[in-house]
Amino acid sequence: MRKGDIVALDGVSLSVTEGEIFALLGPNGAGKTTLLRAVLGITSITSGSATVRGIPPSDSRSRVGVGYLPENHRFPGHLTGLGLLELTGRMHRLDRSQLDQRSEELLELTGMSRWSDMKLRKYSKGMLQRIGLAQALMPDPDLLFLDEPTDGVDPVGRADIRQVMTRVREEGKTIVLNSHLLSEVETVADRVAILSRGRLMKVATVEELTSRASQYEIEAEFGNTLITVPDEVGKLVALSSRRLVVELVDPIRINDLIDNIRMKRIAIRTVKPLKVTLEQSFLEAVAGDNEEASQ
Amino acid sequence: MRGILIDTLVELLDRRVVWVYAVVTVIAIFVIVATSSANLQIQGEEIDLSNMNDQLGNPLMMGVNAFAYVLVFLSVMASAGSIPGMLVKGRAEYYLSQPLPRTSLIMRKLLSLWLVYSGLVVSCVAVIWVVAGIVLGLFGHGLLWLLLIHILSLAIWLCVTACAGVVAGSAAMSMMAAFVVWVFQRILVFHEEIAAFADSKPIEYTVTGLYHLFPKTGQMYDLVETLVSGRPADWMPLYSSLLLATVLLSVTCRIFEHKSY
Repeated sequence: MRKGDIVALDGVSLSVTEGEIFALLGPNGAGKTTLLRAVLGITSITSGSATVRGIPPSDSRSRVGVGYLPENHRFPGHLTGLGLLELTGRMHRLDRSQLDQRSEELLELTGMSRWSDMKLRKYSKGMLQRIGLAQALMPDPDLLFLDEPTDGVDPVGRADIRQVMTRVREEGKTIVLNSHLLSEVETVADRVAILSRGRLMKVATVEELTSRASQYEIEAEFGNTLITVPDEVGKLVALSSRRLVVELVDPIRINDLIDNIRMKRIAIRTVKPLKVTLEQSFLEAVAGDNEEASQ
Repeated sequence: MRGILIDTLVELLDRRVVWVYAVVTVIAIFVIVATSSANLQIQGEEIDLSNMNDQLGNPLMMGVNAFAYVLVFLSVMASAGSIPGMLVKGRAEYYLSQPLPRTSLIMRKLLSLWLVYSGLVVSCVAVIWVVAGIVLGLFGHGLLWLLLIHILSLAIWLCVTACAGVVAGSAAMSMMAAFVVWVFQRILVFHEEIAAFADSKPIEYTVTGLYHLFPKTGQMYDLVETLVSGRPADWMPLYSSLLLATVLLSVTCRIFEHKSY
């Protein structure tokens, strides 16, 4: 997919499963927003294809029951919060009673009831994000696209928005989330796609991205005891008087290592697979691409 | 349709454009009142306004026609930014992500603009019509013709600004396009004189071609007076202008359907 001479998305192939929160991660200019816009039919796809529930984005039926909160949105400033929800509802063919019911529910849910009659141009950034989320939820969507939903929102507001996302997922709905806040993604997302310079670097569950399956951390009173790890078990990554990190040949060999430590009469406090943050995992994936680009 | 119509109406009220129409209407009322108290003379003979229908055709119609012309001009200028405004970055995403085909979206917006601004023009013209009737004692016929022609003319201008708005994506360009087309169509009325003056076949073909291509709203307003006075009307300006509007509308929809935002 091209924007002038720039290839905005190159060979990106992925699918989102119903009922999951799927997050797109990537540095600025990676093509995350372009991907959402292409799927929603806002930006044309120059080559390749995309479908939403089997319908191409050029067909407006692909957007039935779909909610979208754009990044850096500029909702019509002449409308009130309630007016925006009603306009969205009308374009989704909701009848009067549905409009009233959904508006009331969503204003309550996003904490915007008090400001529903205020013009959008007078809203703060955080208020705009909240009402933007409400309008995205207005059609009671099965599929929700959220592009930087917590951008400009205070910590309390971020927690509220995360709560809304979790609630939507619990209702069996699907969310495609684009966020720079890795901690937020780590908290709510089921699967993550990492994009860099328009290319898909990795797709995995948050669990897969944050765990080092073959690395274990053992906390114990090692003191000055010499600990050796036989080659058939694995190799020592780090050792201090209280902590040992080992990379195992096979996770089952952790038992051999524990036996070895117990034989030395060392008190073991914890044994756990080594975890990394999503941020570390993300930076590793993107760094690989940057190295490739610089060569 | 209702959602976009309400959105357009709210936008119009929010921009306080209505006040401009109100001021223009009030000025027109002052002119009518001033006219009623003036002693009009033609070649030194004082005339009775109540007999003007017989003497000069229908001066009321001419005045209201000019008033409606100003209102249509105001409407074109006021509405020129609406479609580009809908398609600015950050707002286009909102409208285009709704489950509406793009052609339907742009047609709904255009139709809403037409209905809302036509409503304004009709209301103001009706007020003037009634005031002039009461103050001057002139109740000429042909209000419906006048309104019909002006409302059709507004539709034609909206097609011009919509096309420019979608292609250029700018309110300023949209207004400028309307202004340029307006100037050219006024000049091209004199296409025969221009051709005769240039005395060149290529220039004659060019100006005649352009004359037929451009809208002829100026001549449409003349058509109102012809219709009201009962003289035989030349419908060509209306037909050809509507044809151009239809072509522009098709081009606008086609471009909008395929444009990336």
